[in-house]
Amino acid sequence: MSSDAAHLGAASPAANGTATRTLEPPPPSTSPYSGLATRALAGAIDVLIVQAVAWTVGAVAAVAASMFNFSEDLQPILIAAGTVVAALWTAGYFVFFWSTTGQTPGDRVMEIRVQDATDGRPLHFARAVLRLLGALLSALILFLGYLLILVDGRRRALHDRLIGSVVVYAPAPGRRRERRLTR
Amino acid sequence: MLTGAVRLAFAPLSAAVGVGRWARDVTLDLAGDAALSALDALLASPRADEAADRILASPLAEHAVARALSGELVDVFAREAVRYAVLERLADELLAGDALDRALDRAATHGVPQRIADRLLEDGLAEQLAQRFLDGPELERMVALVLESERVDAALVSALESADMERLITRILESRLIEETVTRLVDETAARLPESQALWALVDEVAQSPAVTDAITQQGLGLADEVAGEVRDRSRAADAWLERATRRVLRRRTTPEPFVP
Repeated sequence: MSSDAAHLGAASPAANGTATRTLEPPPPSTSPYSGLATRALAGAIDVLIVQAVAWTVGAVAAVAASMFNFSEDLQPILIAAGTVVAALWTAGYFVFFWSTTGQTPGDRVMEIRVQDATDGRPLHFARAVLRLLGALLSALILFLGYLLILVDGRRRALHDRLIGSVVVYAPAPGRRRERRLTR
Repeated sequence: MLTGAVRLAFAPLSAAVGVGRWARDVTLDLAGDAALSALDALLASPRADEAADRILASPLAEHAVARALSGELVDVFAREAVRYAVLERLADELLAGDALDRALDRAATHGVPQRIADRLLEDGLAEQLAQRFLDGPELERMVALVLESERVDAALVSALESADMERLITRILESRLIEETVTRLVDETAARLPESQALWALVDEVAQSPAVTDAITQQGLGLADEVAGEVRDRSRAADAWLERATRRVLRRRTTPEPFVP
């Protein structure tokens, strides 16, 4: 069991059978897996970052393009190319972070991490790509795939179940130590 | 035998000489007594004062005094006065008796100290004394002596610890004068500070110092971290609340699965 797991497990009185002191304020959840609200906030932060970069780059590109008198026939092609670049940027953003540290910037702010459900390691590149596609699938029909988080024992969404990943709380090392000292 | 004969021959002569000596001594004594009696009578005479006055008022007396003072008499007098410690003895007598006090009283009565002070002040002696006092090492020595004095130290401590001093300081601090002075100083300082180039230079220097920028950065990061921590705590509470609400709606009990790293 990793240190995270040990720490989180110790947070539950049932886990060690002793009456441990609770944090002030008491922890809202003893589950080591991240819930829907936290994941939604992390996703919102990531969307903001992705969109901010995309809009900034798009604006710069538009200003640059306005300096060249492209023909009207070329404009749909440029728009399509821009859309592809934006899609690649968005996909690359998530795949890169999921497959390297397991934490996108939004995940890091919310202190959660995407990891393999079996060994706790970050996803491989291919599985990260598949998870992204699965996430699109989960969002297709009114985000029903995400609502599975509320009923799953390990708080997994549809794409987590399909890929075999989980999202866990991952407090920063300093904060982990601080919480341990508070006990 | 011859010697005895000679002695016998000169005996009458020797007796005559002895009688002569006696007669001379007696005569001299009588003459001396007579002279002294005459002098006493002369001094006791009412004419003596007038005679003395006339002598002293005469050009002869002036001439004699002038001759005496211009000659070696003064030197001799001074030498002998020093030799026999005349001045010291005179000073002792003056200090032992009340003559000095009487002299000082008379001088004070006639305003002598005031005149002396006026003359000294007119001549600039006071300024010279003050300048000399400030330039010389005496002032420093005096200040050092005062500061090192245990009595002064004890007096200061006693004065500072006394209730009177506390009341005095309290009254001073609560007085209108202090309040008005402080208010005026603050107002003037506040009015002049923005005009001071040195102040803005100092503010720029402080604002650009690494310590201040680091502190501001740390404070900003700390605030952001605090806000993020609050959001995290609330989102975790929301996670649990949503989960519980869903279970209540669905009337389904979800068994938490163990954590598998």
